[in-house]
Amino acid sequence: LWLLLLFVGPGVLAMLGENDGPSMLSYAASGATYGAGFFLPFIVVTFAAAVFVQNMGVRVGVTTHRGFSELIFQRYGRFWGWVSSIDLIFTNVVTLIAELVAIRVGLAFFGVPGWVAVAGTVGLVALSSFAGSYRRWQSVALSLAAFNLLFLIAAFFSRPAPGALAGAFLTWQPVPGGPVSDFLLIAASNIGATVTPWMLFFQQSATTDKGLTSQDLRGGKTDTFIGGALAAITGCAALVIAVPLFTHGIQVTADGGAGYASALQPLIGTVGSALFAFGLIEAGALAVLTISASSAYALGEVVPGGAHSFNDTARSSRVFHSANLGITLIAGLITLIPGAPLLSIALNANLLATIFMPAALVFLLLLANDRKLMGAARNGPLANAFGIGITVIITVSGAAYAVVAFAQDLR
Amino acid sequence: MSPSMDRPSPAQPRNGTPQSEPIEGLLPEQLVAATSIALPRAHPRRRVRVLLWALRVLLFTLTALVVFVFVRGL
Repeated sequence: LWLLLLFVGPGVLAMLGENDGPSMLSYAASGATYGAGFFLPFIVVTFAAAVFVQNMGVRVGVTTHRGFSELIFQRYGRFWGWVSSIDLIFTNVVTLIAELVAIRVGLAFFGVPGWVAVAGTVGLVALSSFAGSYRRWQSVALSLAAFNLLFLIAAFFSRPAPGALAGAFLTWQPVPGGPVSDFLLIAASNIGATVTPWMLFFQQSATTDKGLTSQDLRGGKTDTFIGGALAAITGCAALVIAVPLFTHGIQVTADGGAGYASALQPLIGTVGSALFAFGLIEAGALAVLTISASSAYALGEVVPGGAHSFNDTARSSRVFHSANLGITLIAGLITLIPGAPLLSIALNANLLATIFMPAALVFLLLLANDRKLMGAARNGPLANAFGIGITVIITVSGAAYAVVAFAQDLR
Repeated sequence: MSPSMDRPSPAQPRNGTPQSEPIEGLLPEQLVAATSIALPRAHPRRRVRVLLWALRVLLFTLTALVVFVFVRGL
């Protein structure tokens, strides 16, 4: 158990960090729109794909001892290095705004002002960033991650029928009806809520920062599997929590989560809805830590002039620590601008993640097949078949998502 | 080998040649030195270069669609 605890970290944090505010709201929207059916096993399958992809990143990390950005920059040149980093930073700023909106709305449920929520979040990032070591930063993040299980407790307040849940997992029934475009948007949103570029950048760099070697690969994979299993369980729990809204035919407008917590209150009680709101705050806070860290790793690895680790002081790794804190500060300040289109930004967070994911996946596959880098640890035919399959599915769903959103907007 | 959590991070890459020795056999200081050397550029095959160009076009097209939708939604 002690040995396992040594390895636990990057995988669990990447997976539970991805169960962020917008993701949990996507799962809740699936439950509220279609009930317990097709999307329950769908969430499990998307997490299985995420575990597979993340483990490939861990293998590249422990074999090369280099971060994802660093490898793209050095092997494929400045253009792709900067495109990948800028894509990531842009998507991360948008996602961080969505996280801060979720935190603000969740805390507003308990009467906390918006500026206090933003200041507290920036303070949390600063505290963990300057804690002096990767281990301390990871301890703070893992402590927050434990609260993701609040969604599991809250799910019991919605009194799910065990037979219906078992039937959904076994048969994928009932299959969603209604307009295909709505189904496509929810499906792509769920994929974007599970497999995202920042997870790849974060886990590979954090694995390197933690000092894992190829002899620790098995431990790293176990870490990812545990994270994936926990994230799938809590993701499904978020869907189950919202099923009573589907049963009672209640439609909820997307307003950062407050609508779901308030609408659920008469159906699952004050405790259940408060747990859901608390869960959104925790999900947002953990995601802020991991997403800002992924930005810091990406920039620290490509901007010359310093180290890029939580183990280094602010003086020796200025770019890394400035990026970690700065990106959260920028996102926080944007959320405080009166009249800023926060809802529109939050709704586009998962969409951006879905359309930028294919580029990250293609580079992961190229790096994992790079004979000079990986040697005997390079991908085999089965890993390539799964990897290419996942890349094609995500590319098609991301493109379909963007085209449908565009077509709907033109109407 | 158990992970060393407080390992100092490698310095920024310099131009050089890739490490040829097995990286796992290196001491921590040697590992830092080995990973501080920039790797050489990859020379992808033609079909990979075509794939990367297709990726550029897809990325910029989808980004344009999303930016359009976002701006219209303001």
